[in-house]
Amino acid sequence: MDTFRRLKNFYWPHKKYLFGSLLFLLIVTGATVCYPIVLQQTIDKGIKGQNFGYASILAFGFILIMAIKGVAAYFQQYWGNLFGISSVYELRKALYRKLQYLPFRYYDNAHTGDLMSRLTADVEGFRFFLSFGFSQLFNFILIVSFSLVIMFSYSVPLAVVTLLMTPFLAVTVYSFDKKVHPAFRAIRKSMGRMNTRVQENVSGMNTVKAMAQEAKEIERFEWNNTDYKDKQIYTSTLWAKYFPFMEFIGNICVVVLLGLGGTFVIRGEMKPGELVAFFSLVWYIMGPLMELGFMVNQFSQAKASGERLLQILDEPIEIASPENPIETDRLLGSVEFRHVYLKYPNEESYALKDITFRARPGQVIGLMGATGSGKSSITRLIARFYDATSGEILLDGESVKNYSLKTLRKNIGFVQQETFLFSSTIRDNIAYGNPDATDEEIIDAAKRAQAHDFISELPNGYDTILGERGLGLSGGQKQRIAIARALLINPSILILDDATSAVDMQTEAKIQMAFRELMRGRTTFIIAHRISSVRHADEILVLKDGQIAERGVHEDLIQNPNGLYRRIYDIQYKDHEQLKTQQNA
Amino acid sequence: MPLEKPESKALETRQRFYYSSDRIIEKPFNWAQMARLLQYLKPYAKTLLPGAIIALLIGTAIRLTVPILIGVYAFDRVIKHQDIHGLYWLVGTIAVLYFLSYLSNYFRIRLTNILGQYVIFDIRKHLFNHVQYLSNRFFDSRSAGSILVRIINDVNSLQDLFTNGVINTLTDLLMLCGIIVILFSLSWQLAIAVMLVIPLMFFLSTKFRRKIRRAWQLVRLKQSKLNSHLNESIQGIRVTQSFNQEVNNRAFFDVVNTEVFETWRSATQKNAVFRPFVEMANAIGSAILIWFGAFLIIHSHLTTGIFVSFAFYLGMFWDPISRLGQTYNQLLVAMASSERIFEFLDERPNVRDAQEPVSMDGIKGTIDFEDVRFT
Repeated sequence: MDTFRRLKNFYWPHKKYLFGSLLFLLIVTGATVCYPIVLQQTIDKGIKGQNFGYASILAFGFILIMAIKGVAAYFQQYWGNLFGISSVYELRKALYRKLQYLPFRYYDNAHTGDLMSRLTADVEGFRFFLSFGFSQLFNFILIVSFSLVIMFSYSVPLAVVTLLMTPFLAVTVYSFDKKVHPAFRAIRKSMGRMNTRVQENVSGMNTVKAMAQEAKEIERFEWNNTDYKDKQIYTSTLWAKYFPFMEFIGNICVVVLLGLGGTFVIRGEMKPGELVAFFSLVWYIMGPLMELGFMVNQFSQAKASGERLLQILDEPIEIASPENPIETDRLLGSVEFRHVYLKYPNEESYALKDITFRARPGQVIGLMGATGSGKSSITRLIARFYDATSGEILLDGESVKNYSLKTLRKNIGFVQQETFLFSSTIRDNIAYGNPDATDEEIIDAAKRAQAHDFISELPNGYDTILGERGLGLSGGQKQRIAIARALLINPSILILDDATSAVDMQTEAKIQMAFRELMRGRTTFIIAHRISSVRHADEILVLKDGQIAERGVHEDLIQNPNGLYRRIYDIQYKDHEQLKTQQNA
Repeated sequence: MPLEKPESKALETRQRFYYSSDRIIEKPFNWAQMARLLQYLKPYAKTLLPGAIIALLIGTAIRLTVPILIGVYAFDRVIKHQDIHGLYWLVGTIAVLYFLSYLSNYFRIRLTNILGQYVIFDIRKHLFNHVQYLSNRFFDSRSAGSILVRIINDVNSLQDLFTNGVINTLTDLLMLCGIIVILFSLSWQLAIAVMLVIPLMFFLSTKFRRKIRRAWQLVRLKQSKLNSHLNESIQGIRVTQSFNQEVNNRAFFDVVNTEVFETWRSATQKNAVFRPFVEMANAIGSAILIWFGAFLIIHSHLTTGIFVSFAFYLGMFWDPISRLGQTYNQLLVAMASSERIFEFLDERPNVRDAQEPVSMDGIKGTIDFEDVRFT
């Protein structure tokens, strides 16, 4: 119950829909049980009493009652649904808001697929319960008690007989429910596996074809396809076993009622109309009972869904602007690290140890080192994507924690290793950080990023819509759009995180050219694997296991014969030298 | 509900993201395509299909017989003549019939599902295997996602049709015809009177339903837009945060979220409007039975037993009509899905094996290009 109490803020404001819906449900259920009564009255009073006038009153009265029922059913259904969708509207809004501000730390460990299933399936599970769960439960109580009252007033023995049948049905429903839900889960899992198999097959089609693996792939898919079919057939066997049996229990009840009730009617202890009414009333009890298992399951699923949603909502946002932040339009761009240590959550060792350096406005800092040596971690601390575990980071002499996040990030331009573009026009992608930019500004940024030429050649130019994940453009083209995007916010600090690792030599040359334009007048951090990217830097920091192993300018660093930088230099330039000698020979 | 405002003025009037969510969900009915689809039933025409049909015939026959036994026989013969012995016979007979009906239902559900799943298995296998041998050109022009959707989702959407649709349609048609024949043979006057509501019911389950269906399609479209954006915003969250776009994106999401809410509200309202009409159609049928039935009985044109049987049959009317409407929807969905499936199946590979392929065993590895052109 705790889950529902804690999610109260989302659904309680809409309680008027819930209560309105339940009120009308009372009318609907009341009208439903009128049918057997009207039938009984027609047979016992109208027909037996040869009272045609009374039958006419019943007929019109019935239409009237059903008209009321219809209108009530409208409100009951509409408001019940509205209760669910209004609550879920607020819930989705809150979830999205939360997701926007959760720090990088959260996304490092979260899978998109898992988050998506919470945002879709769990939200839907919760909505379904709000829309239908309450009213189903209420309906169950109402219709069963109404029907029992009528039954007992017609014939106590027959009512008792009906009640005696219910435990059989309840046991059957319970055992069906226990089996069918794992079976449904198995189907969903099997579907998921088949999905993954096809996904891998189609996206790896080039490899499949190059290796002539088609027959093998067909065989592997055959296994998935068979597994899915078998799981489906198993579940349908459960249905086949249980559903006709549940119906059979109800039918047996009808047969017993006919035998017993028939005897009563023959003996004159019961009116025939009352017996006929019983045949309808039985199903008003048996029907909802068959759905009881479904209802209970729905409740427990909604609870589990609610818990998964609360996990997101309860997640702390530890990186936020301070109370009275420094807000400024433009930083000068000096960056200073003082004995900075960083340990990522859930990790044993430090990613950064005792990092101290200083970059003056406009300087270029090169960061080199093996994967995982801490290059990217340094840059992420500047924009407060993470907070340092200890030590201080100063921008223009003030701790980064004293600035508003907005000021901080407005002044820091990132070009990340993996370019992410949105499903949007090229224009809007470039203007992503500054949507108010004019067309001239956008084109200017694209020109300076060496992107204008290829964009102009596209049939729709800047209005070209990029597909999900920026499909249709080459890696280098995407990279240049990302550079234009960073340029357009005119940052005072620029971070180029391994931006040229995935492109060919010719494109790299173009991008390097764009970088030089980009770096003018900004403090720049370049993370790179290639010496060529950092050799002109004002200071190069060579990192090893989170520590600064060497520092200095290119010319000095290559003088140290045992240094890490020199070793990288040798590896990267040996081929080059050899090539030169070969060409000269 | 007030919408959240974007920080950037330009985004107040401009759509920031575009998502292609306009997959056509339905297509008009097409006989040729239906025939091609039914071809997949052929391998089972002599194995599973006859069993399923026999089971459904037995089940339907029993469901049609019981109301006569409980109505006409129980009331007009047994109770009227105070025949306790006959009552026991009757109760015994109905019990046996119900047991047979239980068995036939078991076999019907089992066999139709096995049949349906085998057909789905075959279609999926056919499609997957076919796609494996298509040429690179085919894959270059399509995203992996769009191929995945056809092999998984489009085939899945045929599932309903093959597991329940085909057999249910047969059952429902049989049931409706059976009820009508029985009602006329019991009392043609009352039958005609009661039948007046059938056209109304058909109208409701087709025309009215169409509006509702369209409304739900719109909901699905908006939902898929919402999901695409959610997916993208999670994947691009680092870019969003480093460019300070949280507030602007919240404003965009708010618009999409509101669209989902509004279309959903409208669909659910249309659905709810349906309810009073269905209740009224049923009520009019019952009122005619009560009023005209009582009139006929009082004037000795009808017996109480027939009246009771009529009441039973009337209660069995709406379900098959409503299900037929649903089956029609299933068919339209199946048309769109199968069209997409057949489009892939009709695709021919443009790089084929040679008629008599040469073996590459013991090859040396020299490759000569002579006057090769490629466009």
